[in-house]
Amino acid sequence: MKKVFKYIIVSVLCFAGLNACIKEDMNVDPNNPKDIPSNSLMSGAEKFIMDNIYDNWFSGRQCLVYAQYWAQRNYTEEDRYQIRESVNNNYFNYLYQGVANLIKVEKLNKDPEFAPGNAVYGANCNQIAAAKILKIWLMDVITNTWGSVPYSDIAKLESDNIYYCKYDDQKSLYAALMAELNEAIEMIDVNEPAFTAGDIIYEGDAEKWKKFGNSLKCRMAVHVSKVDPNWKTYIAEAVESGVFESNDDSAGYKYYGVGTDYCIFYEGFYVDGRNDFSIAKPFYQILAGEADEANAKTHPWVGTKDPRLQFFAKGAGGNKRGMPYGVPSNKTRSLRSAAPNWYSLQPGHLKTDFKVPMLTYAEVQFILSEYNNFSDAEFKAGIEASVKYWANIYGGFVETDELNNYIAAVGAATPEKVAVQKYIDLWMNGTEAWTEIRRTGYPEQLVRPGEKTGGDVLDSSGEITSSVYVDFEPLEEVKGDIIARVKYPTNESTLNGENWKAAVAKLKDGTNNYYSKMFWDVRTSTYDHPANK
Amino acid sequence: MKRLKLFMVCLLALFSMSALAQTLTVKGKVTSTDSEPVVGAYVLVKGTTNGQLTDGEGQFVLENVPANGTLVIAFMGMKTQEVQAASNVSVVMEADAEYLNEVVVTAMGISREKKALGYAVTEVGGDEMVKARGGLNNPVNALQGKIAGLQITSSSGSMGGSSKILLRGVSSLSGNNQPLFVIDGVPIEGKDFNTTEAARGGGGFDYGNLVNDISPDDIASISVLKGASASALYGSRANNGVVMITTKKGNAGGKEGYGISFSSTVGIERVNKLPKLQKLYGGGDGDEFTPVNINGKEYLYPDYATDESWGPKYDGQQVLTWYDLAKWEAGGMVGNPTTSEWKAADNDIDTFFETGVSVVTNVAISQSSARSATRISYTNSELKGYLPNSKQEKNILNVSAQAFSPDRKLEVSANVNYLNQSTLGRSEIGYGDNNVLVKFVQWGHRELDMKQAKDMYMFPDGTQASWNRSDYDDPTPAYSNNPYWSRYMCYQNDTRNRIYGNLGASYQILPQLKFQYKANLDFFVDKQYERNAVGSQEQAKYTEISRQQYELNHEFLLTYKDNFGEFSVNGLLGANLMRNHFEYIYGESVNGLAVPGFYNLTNSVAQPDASNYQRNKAINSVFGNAGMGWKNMLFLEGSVRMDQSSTLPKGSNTYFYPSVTGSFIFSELFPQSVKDVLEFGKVRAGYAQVGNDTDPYQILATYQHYTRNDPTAPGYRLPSNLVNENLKPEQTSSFEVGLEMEFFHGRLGFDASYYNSITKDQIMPLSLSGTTGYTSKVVNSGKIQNTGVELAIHGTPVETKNFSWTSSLTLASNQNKVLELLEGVEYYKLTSAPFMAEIGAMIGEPYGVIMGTDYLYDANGNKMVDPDSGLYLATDGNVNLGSVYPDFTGGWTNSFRFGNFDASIHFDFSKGGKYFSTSYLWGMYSGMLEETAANNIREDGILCEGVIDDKGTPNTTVADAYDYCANYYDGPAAQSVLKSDYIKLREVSLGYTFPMSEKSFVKALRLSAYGRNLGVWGPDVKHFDPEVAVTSSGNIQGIEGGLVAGVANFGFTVNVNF
Repeated sequence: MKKVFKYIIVSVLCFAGLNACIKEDMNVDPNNPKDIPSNSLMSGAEKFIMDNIYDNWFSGRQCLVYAQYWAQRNYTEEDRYQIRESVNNNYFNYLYQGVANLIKVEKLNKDPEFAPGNAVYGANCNQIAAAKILKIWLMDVITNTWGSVPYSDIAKLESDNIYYCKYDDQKSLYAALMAELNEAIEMIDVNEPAFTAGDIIYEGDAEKWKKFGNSLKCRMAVHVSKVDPNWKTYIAEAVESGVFESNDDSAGYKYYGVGTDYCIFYEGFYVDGRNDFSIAKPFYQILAGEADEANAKTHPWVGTKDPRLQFFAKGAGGNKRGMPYGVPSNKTRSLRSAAPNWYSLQPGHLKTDFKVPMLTYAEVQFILSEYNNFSDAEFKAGIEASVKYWANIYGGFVETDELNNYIAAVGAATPEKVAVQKYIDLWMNGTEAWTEIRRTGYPEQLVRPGEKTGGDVLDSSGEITSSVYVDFEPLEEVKGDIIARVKYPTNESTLNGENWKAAVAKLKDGTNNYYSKMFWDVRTSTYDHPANK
Repeated sequence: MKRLKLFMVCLLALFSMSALAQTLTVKGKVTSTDSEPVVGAYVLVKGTTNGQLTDGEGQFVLENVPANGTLVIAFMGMKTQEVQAASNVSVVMEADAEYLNEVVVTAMGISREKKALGYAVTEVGGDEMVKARGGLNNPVNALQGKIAGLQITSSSGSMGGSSKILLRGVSSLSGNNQPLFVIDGVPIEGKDFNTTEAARGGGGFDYGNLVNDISPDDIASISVLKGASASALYGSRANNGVVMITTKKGNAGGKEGYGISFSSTVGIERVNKLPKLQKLYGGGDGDEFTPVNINGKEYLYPDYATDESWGPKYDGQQVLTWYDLAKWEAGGMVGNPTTSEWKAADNDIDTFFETGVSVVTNVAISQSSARSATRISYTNSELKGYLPNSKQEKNILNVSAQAFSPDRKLEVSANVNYLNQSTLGRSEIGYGDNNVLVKFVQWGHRELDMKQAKDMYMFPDGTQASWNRSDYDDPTPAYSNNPYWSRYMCYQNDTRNRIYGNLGASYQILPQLKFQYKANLDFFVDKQYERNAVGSQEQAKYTEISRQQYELNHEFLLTYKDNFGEFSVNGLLGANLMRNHFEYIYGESVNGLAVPGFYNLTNSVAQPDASNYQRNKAINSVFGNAGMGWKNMLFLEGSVRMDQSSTLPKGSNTYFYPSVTGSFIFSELFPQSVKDVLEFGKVRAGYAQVGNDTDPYQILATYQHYTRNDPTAPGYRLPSNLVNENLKPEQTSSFEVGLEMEFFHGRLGFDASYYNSITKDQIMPLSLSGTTGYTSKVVNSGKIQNTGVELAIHGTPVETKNFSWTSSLTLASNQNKVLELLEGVEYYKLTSAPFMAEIGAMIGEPYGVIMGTDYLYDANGNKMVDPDSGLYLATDGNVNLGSVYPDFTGGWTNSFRFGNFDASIHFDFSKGGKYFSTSYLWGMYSGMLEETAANNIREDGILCEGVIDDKGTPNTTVADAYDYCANYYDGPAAQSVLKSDYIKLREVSLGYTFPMSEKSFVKALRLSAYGRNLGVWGPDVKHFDPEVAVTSSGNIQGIEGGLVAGVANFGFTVNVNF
């Protein structure tokens, strides 16, 4: 018996001995890689950013409705400027995480440990420049949404242990972005690729990234046109260095449309099975050449139908004039009879492989028109480019005659015409459109608080049975105008409390409100166009 | 019988013996006062190491016994005897006062005399687990309110949802806080796999925590080791205490032969707690119906596309309902559709729920002989749930066997449990699309008739008929599936196969020294299949998840026990090697399903999406323990343990922690006259430290795969959580003192404890502002303190031959305080509720605070009201709205015996603690809850009590009911924070035991009945049972995203022994 016991002990100990040692690599994550090529990170960052801007939340329920391109068909809280706290918290974080990914791309091309290896995937200088340009494009979206936001301290947790990022004053933030943009543009070596693969925006074309940088500089210059006397100098520099020259240069992100790599607007409608949005009536009326009779307001092309109408407002026409904007939820039931059912029609912007617009060649032309004191040539070039760009995106075609007739009908450039044409071109590009609305006050025909909104109620054959009009009453204090900003997220009040408090204190009335204006927003009245002064 | 208890080897007083004389061989038999043999009693020749255990007949043979020697016979629970050596001796042992010599199972499965312990241990018999056998959603719920300091909050329903189990409060900010479950020495995986989304009330399924797999029919006893001192030997994982479960076994050396026991329970369950909903207004938004024209005829069409109940008042109007339309469409649109009266539903939501029926059957066969024993038990449980299309089947097989060598020194044993479980149609929980309660309470049309919904959930072509039509001519569901479509078409199912058990051998090297080795395995494969049918509101989808885990523990143990004069000593030396491997594979369809009703990943419209995950973890440990007792009166014990964990960085992955405890039985000093009143009194004190590691892969930074938008260059992104290469182990230090007293020969007694524990250097993902680039970082920081008192009182007010009444009360109060977070950090966010409010930890506050916007108050504490709208104003940012956890819990049980009848009634209660109710928020917003139409508020409006300025001017603006209710979403989150205080009539049982002769074929027969969850009382229980907020066993608590109906259970059991 004792022998048996000995054998048991010995065999157990041997067995244990073999297994007893804990190897250090046991704690190496088998699920996620430690190192990746820098272009893979760029590829992930590009999509991550697009996914979190062009979707049914940040775009669909916020900037696209603020710009009155879209309107909600049932629950209209956001249209009436009441944001969802959880959405505001999340998207603020998502967008900054997007920025952090781009800063990491820069690091992977600067850090002596990683830069040589990553040069294989594109010239280091070009990768850095492209990451910076996209970052500045994104920061422009962020600051124009919330106002003064963190920048100089961001993404320095690993390097400098910064847990709390201070909020930079928007004016100095713009200056910093401008300086960094100049640096990025100058850095580009157009003879080298930016990325060998993975760059969806420009397929690694360094020259196009450079043009994007310069075009973005024009956009930012025009934003500050009323508060920075040097704005024309910036544009002159950009033109000198090279801006977009055709629609081929336009910045956009095309979704693959295979598997889950689909555009998030598609997900919002079809994966989630939600039919929440349709074309907003004010935008439809502008495209359709209709005046806003309820408020006795008009736009420059009453009677002229826009050739882009068929793409943007699929299903609208006749009595279907789009979803009236900003009506109370309990009025949507009857009014949605006039809104095209996008869920069943699936317009191009709800397709899996939609190319989301970031900055178009047409927009640059409109900026140049404004730069040249509203010159006609750039204005018309802009319209032509925009119509062709969007026809192409939607897989459609506009006959040359139709296009020429339209351009002729539009007439000579004026500040209002340039602003409204730019507004039409900025379709789906919610933040920029909303920024321009705030800067210029155009289109006049958008519904302002206190004005009438509503429309006809249709029966199943499309006949008008009655009509409903109500006052547009925002749910939050906006001082009688289209929302001036989005409130800082409440998350920041707990996770970055001191800086949040300091930033709130600097807002108008010292409260976290919706009416504090951007530093570039110096309008004194709703329809006042600073460009005229 | 005492001998049915687990035995322990007692060591005896040793006196010097000088005389040498001739020796003899002693044969003898040890019996109890009722003439039963005492098996396993230790017989020792006084002053020598010559000793033996009695065999199955209570007999022993000792050689080389000095002729004038003395034999000492000891058996746990009986009075130690001394007899003069003779060739034939017969010893009758008397039972010692049972309650004074209670033996409990302690760490490492070692049985100890409870009185010698310097820490709190509570033991509960296995019969508590089967009292309400068919009515337990989770077997551990049987312990609710029965053990002071053990807090169990259970989700409702019967299909095995999660129970939140806490011993002495939360000690870890983000890590595991559930006690370790150990079954016969096997550490059992007890956590749940619920997603964060499910835990925070966002939706998904509650698959329950894995302690669900315990088989109540096979439990002999449960021993709860509460403090760190009690569990120091188990190491980090026992940081939160240990629940030790001992299973029933055959009795080697017991009476030779077979025993068969059979029990069967039939239970029913009925929904008994649903929110109170208004019955005056129907669905829609606005007072009017929409006129529609079909075939030239005008109809009034309700606003079905709006899933709220702000529609027209019931006034007998004839309207074109969804049901009229659906029937007409199903019939090919022949003729004109019918119309129906606009009225409160004839078949309201309560008729949706069915009567659940469960049948649980257990058969156990045990065999025993002198040197071996086996027990085989089989349990089958079949449940038809109270939700349409739900059922669960469980098969549990338990085999235990032990065998001894002829000298009884070598013992080999095996204990294997096999579980096979399959479930169909669990309820979706939280704010999920197919959680029918969300569609009944948060969003929906109050006039819906469930009979109609059942009758027409599908059109003849297989597409869905939902009441929530997009329009009168478009039956596409806008937001909601028909609840029957959700149950019958979008069902889930899951299976689990699990084996746990151990193989072991022990050898009694010397009477004082024993070596033991055990291999403990816990292995399971868990599969989940979730479906969203073609034609549902959301895109059709099929998801398949497979999880597999094994954990192997090799345990080596050397135990020593001896007596020297008035001193007793015991010691233990051990080692444990733990290896844990987990694998997860996930597959889901993309862009919908091609063939309706066919659920396979190949049916995905686009290439299905797949991902996998693996996790490995190892811990090596050595530990030791030494104890000393003096005169059975003073005891001192110390332990040390060292762990090496694979999850921590080299250099700090090895950590060491000690414990020391002592106890003093002061009643030993009292004269007998005092002992007649105060029979037993003990004070105890203990101090312990326990180290803790973390989850794997928190040291080295990695990237996360994100996209294949460019198929040639996969896209990656930075993770949201930043790792930390400088992690060190967490440390808990705890101190406890206790007092145990027994009066009047056991008629009254109590056990009281005070404890204080501090956990520091916590490893946690600190929430960060996204501006840092991450939303969290793993840090080593944070300090939490728990202090509390526990009191368990038991009494027997009446005890006669035919009637007895015993009563026991448990009370526990735990004060939790977050002392530190990372330097400069005041608040740590755990998660957000789906719409508003979040849960976190804040310095100076108890763990688990609800953060949200509060009412705005003036300097005098009056609520501020906006004078224009007449609605309550909210704070700008989030503030602390209260703690999630209760500060006071307990239970009260009264048991009665009248002759052969027995009965018991058990209440439990919880005081303090709040939760955020998303159902309340939307139930108000959508005009569903009773309050939205009570007191004529829809007709007359409502005046919010409060002031409109700093001068205290009262509000006089009457708010519109619709705006008032919308303000539950627009205004202060505090409006939807409810108190979770409750008293519950948890369990009532009644039984009759038939008197049977030992010689008859049927040895025992018992009939019993039970009721569970029969009533709940509390300040905020109008709509919800506060336990609805539990949707996971993890740290995310206090958010109700979408409730589960409250269920009462009733049942009958028959037990037969042959």
